[in-house]
Amino acid sequence: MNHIELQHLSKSYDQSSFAVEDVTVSIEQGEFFILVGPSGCGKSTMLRMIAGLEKISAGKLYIDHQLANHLLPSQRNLSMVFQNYALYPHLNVEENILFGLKVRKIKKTVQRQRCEEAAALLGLTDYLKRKPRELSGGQRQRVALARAVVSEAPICLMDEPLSNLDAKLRGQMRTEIRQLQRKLGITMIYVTHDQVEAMTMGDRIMVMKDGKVQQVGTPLEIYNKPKNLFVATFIGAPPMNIAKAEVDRLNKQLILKNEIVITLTEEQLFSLKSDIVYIGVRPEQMAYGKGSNRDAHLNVSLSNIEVLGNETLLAFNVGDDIWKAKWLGQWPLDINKRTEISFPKEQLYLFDGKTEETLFSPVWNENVLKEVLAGESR
Amino acid sequence: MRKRIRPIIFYLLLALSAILIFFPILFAFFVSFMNGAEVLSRAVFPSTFEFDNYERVFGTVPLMHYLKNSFIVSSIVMLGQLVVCSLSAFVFAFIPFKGRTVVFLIFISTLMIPWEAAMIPNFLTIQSLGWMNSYLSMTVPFFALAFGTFLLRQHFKTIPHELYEASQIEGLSRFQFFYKVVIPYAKTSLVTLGIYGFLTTWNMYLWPLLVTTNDMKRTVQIGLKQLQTVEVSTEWGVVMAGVVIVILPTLILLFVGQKQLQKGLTQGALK
Amino acid sequence: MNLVEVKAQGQQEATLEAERVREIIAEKQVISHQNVWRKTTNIRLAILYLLPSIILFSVFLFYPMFKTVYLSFFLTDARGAAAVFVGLENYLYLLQSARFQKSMVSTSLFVLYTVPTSVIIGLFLALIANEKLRGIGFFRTIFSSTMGMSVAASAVIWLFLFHPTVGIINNFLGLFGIPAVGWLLDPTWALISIAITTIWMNLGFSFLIILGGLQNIDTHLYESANIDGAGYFYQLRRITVPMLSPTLFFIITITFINSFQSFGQVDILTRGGPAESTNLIVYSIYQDAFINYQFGTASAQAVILFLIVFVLTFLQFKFGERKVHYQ
Repeated sequence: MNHIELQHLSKSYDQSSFAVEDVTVSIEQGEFFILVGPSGCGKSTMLRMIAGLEKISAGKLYIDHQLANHLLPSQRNLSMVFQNYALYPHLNVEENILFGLKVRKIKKTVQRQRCEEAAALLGLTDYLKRKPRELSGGQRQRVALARAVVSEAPICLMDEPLSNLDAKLRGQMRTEIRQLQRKLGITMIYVTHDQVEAMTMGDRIMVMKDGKVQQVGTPLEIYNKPKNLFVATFIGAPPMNIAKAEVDRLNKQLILKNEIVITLTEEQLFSLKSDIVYIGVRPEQMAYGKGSNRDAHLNVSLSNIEVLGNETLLAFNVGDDIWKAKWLGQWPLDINKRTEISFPKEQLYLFDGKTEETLFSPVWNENVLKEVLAGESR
Repeated sequence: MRKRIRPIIFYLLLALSAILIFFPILFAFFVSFMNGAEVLSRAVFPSTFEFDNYERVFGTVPLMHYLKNSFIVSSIVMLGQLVVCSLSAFVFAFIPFKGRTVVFLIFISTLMIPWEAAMIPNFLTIQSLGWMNSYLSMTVPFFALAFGTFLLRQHFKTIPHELYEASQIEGLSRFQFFYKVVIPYAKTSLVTLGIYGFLTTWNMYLWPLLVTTNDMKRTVQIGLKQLQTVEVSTEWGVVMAGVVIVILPTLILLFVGQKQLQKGLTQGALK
Repeated sequence: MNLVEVKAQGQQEATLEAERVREIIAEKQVISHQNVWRKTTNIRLAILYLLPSIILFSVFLFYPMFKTVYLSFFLTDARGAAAVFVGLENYLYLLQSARFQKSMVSTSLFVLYTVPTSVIIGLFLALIANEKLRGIGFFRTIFSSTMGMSVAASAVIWLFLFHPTVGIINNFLGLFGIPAVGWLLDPTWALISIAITTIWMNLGFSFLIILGGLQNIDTHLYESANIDGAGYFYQLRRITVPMLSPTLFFIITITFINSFQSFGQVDILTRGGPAESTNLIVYSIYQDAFINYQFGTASAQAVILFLIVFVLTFLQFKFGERKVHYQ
């Protein structure tokens, strides 16, 4: 059942350019939906339009199949968690959690019960009498979550809720929020600029750039079948390696800047329309050594090595671009020594040189993968 | 070596300055315990600390009345300013509308008008309203204060916008947001403005002089003038007892709220 | 393509884009069927909340200001009603009147005596009270104490200190062999006496404001200067004063305006005398209006006072604002 529906939603602040342009998407009941993109891409504006904090310039917003364009924020039956938590500094944790309920004049006994439940759920029971400034960042975040929980609103909006936390806490809260959302079955719309959050938390992701939707899909779809160069480089860390290449149709090959040549399959060659393309390879597809003759290989000098314990990141130049390889294990190689690196040609992504649309991407079929896994477990 | 001398120099400077600055107040306190002979002999310290002069000052002028009047007037102005200024500051911080900048500029422009330049027509207005010798004339005209509006607006603006948005989502009306969130949040600057308002009203001189003609409504400052004219030649001890009584409330208020006031005033003035 | 063409093309693209945006909005916007009432919530609320201020400012500030200007063109009767229109006569009369000229000279001298001294002493006090020393809070409280002093109380105390027979200032000076001064009786000294009283009263406020300004200066600046080995006075000249300039500018303006508005100390200490040497402008207005019932000339003087304060405040906004943001 669709819960929130956006039809050609647009926002313009100055009547001469769009901050958000023509967004159409339908979000399911109980879905964890992520809006991701670089800062200034319009994702927060989208969220604020859904919340009713920002007027909608054009297009329609439906909540529960009802046109909601002109409803007040409080009439939309949703809760919201802000980046700075928006806790009232003069109220203690309990009063903060119950603030909204008091405004709505909900019965005292119900208030008490909901507050206790939410506090227990989020581990805040011992902190109810404290003021926000006496809490750590993570605890404040939990109070903000508790406030959303007690409202029992079926929709929850979150605007970069984890960006003020340190890396370790962020990892922990990611799991907590996701578990909470599953447990309560609420529809979540979650804004972030962090592709890790997007990949790990979302049922579906919407990638945005410059106010326009780039792609909507499950995390794996977006990772494996990016629609264009931007999505391909935005999702994944370290990002996909990219280089410009010329198409040599006669010899069925691509020529890169420092005279690296990659021969193409018929299928790949057939998909190319223009003579300039971008090639893309995920860092984890890179391997040490020359590889077999089905692989493309590069002879490079390493410019940097980061040994991370369980994996190693190697940087090297391909033309003017810095590429990275990600290998499992520890590889304390010599810097500035020429090294052979290779990758399977069928893992190559090809993007149009002008439109930057994806022309070719490696074979991936989620259903096949699922069937294989299911077969194994049987 | 230099390290040790430095604090000593500063302590010397501080002590010397403190004595020079505080001497007039301290001396007034001493004189308030002196009898006529001691005053005439130009003594610095009183021989005894007896409260004769204090008893007599209440007999010379109706000081109790004046104290009561001053207290009432100052309290009313303080409360009035807090209400009126916080309402307008709330608009400038949280309610956008077309032409708000213009209205704001008009508020700024009031700083350019010295009260004394408007005092003649104001006096005539008070007369025609029949507000002479009334608390109204000494309170109502001072409720609106551009400085107070700025001071509060400045502090209101530090309230994270998310709090406002969160309150919208929770369904608070604008007025509920104002008194449930903004007022408690800005408590400190309200206290600053309150102290400032009380101090300046308590110390007001020219305006009460103009609009009060009988003892029933006069304030302490006018009382001092009276005291000084009545007693000038003979009883300086009594006059100083009056002075001490009049300055005590404001000095205590100042000492208690000094830190607040400094922070608040600097903020209001400079940001 | 040269730069101009590129620019022109950019502009053209922008207008095309703007057109497209407006078309899409016009086509796809959802018009609210809510009534005007809800759309004007903000403005109605704003007016409601601003109303008390607006009414009070109108009645007790803007209207009387215009009325003052109006009255300054008239001769008035004893009840203050405008009787005869005389144009600029009141102003011409003032400019020729020896009394007014003297008043302006006294006021200017008075301002000259009080403003620099108040600010410099205030700065000195703030500097020594900004040190991190034990018990500094006590000194700060003492230094700010005159802010709690009313004009009347201060003036009465100083009246006593200056007193020819019982005043102890002359006593004190006598200790150093300085002959007695006729503080309030001598026309030159009377103005200085009032200035001393005023400076003393100003100190608390200017001290507090300058101390606040000092505490706003980033301590890292001093730390890095210390590492560079800069001495106290070098730091004072190169860091403190430049960083403090907005505060100093503000306090100078405020003290300026306050000085022009001085009244109580004159009324209690000298009543404008001796020989009208302390007849400062507000006292002169007061006398003309409320003692002699010359509302016309009093208003003309009030207009002049207004113009002076107006210009000073304007300068503060114009030059102060920019420097303040710099901080």
